[in-house]
Amino acid sequence: MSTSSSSSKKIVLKSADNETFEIDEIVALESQAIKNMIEDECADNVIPLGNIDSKTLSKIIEYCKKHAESPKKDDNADIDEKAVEDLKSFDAEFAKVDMPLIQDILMAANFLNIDNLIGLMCRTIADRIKGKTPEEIRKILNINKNDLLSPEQEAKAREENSWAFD
Amino acid sequence: MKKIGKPDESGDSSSFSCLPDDILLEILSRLIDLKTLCRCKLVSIHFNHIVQQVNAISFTGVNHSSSDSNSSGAPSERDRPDNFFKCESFVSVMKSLQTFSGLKSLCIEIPSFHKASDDRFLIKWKFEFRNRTDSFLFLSPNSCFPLLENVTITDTSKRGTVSLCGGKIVDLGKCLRLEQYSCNKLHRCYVPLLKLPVSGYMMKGVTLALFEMNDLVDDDSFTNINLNDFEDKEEAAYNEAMMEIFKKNRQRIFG
Repeated sequence: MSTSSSSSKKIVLKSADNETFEIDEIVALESQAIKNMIEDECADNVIPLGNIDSKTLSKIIEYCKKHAESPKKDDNADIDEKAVEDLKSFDAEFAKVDMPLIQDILMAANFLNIDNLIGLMCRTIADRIKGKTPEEIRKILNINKNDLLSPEQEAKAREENSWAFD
Repeated sequence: MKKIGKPDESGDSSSFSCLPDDILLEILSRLIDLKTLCRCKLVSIHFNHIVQQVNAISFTGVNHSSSDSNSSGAPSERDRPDNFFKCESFVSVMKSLQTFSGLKSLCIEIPSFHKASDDRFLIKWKFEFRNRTDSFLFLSPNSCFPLLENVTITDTSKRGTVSLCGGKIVDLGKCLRLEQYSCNKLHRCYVPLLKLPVSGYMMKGVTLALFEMNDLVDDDSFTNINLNDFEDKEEAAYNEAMMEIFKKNRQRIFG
């Protein structure tokens, strides 16, 4: 089985918490990182993803399945309008999750190199912080206290950009 | 289900603080809005560092008169368009903008200078690119943004628009210096009634606003525009208006 290269080939992903997910290879290929692994023939049947938990991984698989099924933009411009709309509303629904999960998905998508998903998550985060105050942004993103500016730096930055706080 | 890599309640760890620089830049680059970007400078050290690399920014001016409940019918001092460029906050906006040294694309939307229900002010504005630049000027010098490729300026009621790219931005950069944003270098001229003999129009309550530039007083480029060059009659009329104001009010403008 490991030498078979038919289109229905299965790939097994293993999450950090040892849950396994069997998916079609075509779905796994949405990830540029996994694609490279497969092309370089350095992937076994089971690909361990030690830094992605099962909750995040199942979301990512859901995304990749949908996107792998959808016709690609360059296939045929005429018939794609509905599919594009469908994919858009899928993406919008997909992004309706809490911020910690969005951040986990973003980290994992970055690791797996799934461009569209990185873009979707970045857009979602940007939309949620647009127009918010620095305090609100810190809260929304759960910014680490060790990463804050010193009170002096903050006062200086606030003064230099005072118009933005009217 | 076991949770791994989740930020915990105490805030000791946050996956957001572990985001690589390029991902944070991707997020911040999608904000576009200058105000939010400036606020992001205060969010964290990481944000402060990365936000300055954002290269596409849009800025919408706030019309300070919009909260002014002037119902007397007379145009109030605060309604006058040039006050927007004169006000302190605009100077501070320009200074904030300068911290984005990688800026490639800039979009400025100036406020519409009239209340929604009030069309007293017919505002037209434009940029001229010859040796010098006239009428409204509110771009930072190009030298602060060596990468700037693209500037779009529009206003909320779509009365004018200008897009610049490439060479024209360099021209603009040459004739602008930051010091010119100080409040007292702005000249303006208000003409209650202006007759335009060539195009036959009459204009009421015309304001011309102008940032001072070197040697402008000796420059005839504003007063020697060939009105036949304009295919658009309205365009010709506005240029004529500008010429008329310059001819008749030079003393007032520069005095």
